[in-house]
Amino acid sequence: MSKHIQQLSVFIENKSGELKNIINLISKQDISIKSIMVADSTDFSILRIICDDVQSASNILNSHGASSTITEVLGVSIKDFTGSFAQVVGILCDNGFNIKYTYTVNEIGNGIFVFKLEDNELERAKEILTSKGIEVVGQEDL
Amino acid sequence: MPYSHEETLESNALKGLQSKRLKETLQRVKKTPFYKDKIDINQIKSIDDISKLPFTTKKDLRDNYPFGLLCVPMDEIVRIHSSSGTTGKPTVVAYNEHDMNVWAEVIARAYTMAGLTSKDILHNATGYGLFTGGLGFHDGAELLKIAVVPSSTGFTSRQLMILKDFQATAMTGTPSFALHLAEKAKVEGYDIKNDFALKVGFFGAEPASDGLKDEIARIWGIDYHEIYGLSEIVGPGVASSCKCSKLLHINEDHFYPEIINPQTGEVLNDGEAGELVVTTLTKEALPVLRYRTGDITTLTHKKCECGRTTARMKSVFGRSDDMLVVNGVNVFPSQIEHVLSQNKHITLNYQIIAKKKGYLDKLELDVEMNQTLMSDDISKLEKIKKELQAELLNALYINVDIKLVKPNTIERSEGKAKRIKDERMS
Repeated sequence: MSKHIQQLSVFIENKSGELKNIINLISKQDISIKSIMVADSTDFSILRIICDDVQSASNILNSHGASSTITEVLGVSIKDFTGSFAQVVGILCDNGFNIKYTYTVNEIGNGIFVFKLEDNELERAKEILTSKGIEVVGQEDL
Repeated sequence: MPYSHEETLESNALKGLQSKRLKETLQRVKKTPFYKDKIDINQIKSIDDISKLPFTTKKDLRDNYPFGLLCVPMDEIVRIHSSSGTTGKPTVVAYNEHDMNVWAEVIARAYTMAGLTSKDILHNATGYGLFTGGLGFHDGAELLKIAVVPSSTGFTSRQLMILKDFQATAMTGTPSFALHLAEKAKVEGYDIKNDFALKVGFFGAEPASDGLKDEIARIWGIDYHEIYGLSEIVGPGVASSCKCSKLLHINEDHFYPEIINPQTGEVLNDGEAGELVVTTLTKEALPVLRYRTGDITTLTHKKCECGRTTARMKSVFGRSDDMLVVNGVNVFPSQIEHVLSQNKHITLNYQIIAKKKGYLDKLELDVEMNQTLMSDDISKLEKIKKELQAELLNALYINVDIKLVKPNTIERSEGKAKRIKDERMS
């Protein structure tokens, strides 16, 4: 069974240069960043990264004094039609899932909707979506 | 005319009075479990023998929390106050009716030094509550039948409105609040010289340079007076300044001052800087012998033009320990450490930074992120910050800004994080 997408969360201070430093560390390791998200904040935020080698990314950041953690997120394959996102969100909401945040991995021709759900809800979400013909992807599919 | 005749005693008469009162105090404390084995009454023939007595410290009050040092039964106690402690418990002080009269009297002396009479209206912008400040200034004013407006701290806009509408002629508060109030008055469109009727201000509870005091006097168009005190002795009123200078007359018929070398305990001479030690000569409920205030100052017995013969001290200009004063509130770094050690999320990699926010003081607590604390959930981290802020507010009476910072970024000194950074310039 393929693992769900592993998301790397990094503590980031709201200071000039912080984002640049983190990205450079990962890029220098020849790790490919698939998606990245950070929201506005007061003194700190959490930078979320999806990449092809999350363990190496975590290691290089931690060895440079960053604070990070890895959590699992739900990945749903994007079908390129108007309403495809609405369809997935609708199914998740109708089945009682709490979407904490969402963003995308964009690639030409296809991509992935990423959803952060409550802990331990990923398997149930995968079952329901799959039963409705919607493809759930994992870390190996990146 | 000084409020009390004891303010103008010639030196032999004063010494005689102090010696008599010291012996009475020793009779009072000799039975208490705390002082019993520490003093030999026969050794004390006069006030000049006072250095034979042991010191009393804040730790002694803490070890006897809350009422272990009381010399009278609770039945006689009419007031209990508390102030900042060094750990989780506050310092507790208590008064009987006689003590309350002494307290009001020394405050009345301070107001009289500045020329206040029953015609005056006092805007008391010092905090009411467990701290001794607000009520101390209040009760003393009632002795002179001054009209008191108990405005306490906070709600600056409303304070400005009533300051103008009630036409108060005098006010109390911290020096930083005086500047903050003036700035707010400007922003809100008040004409400081014409809208207000203030002639006199009584300020204290935090250090202020001579320049700052002159600035406050100039901005408000008032006479600047300072009142010094600490709860462990009585509250505000241990000493106050007259019209002649910025030196403060110590009410030494009630509170006997000494200056010591804080490291050796050796008593120093007039003019030498050291830690102020005070012995209460008339307090009945909670007398203290040679209490180490932690405040650094100098004494002088030189004549004052106002005619008062009491010894004078310089405005306190330092501490013998690491205590901070934040908007007039005493904060011991150990209090903060105590709160943090009880919090399961926070490691001891933190730093307290005292800053200025406009004219007011602000405390910031930087806490290093670590793997235990790290989470993908921002709301969880914000909740931890809020809870810590509430715990600190409860312990310190101060709102501390909590900031999460990257791991290993707080400067260390010999492996230990540098705990306090004071970025304010006085």
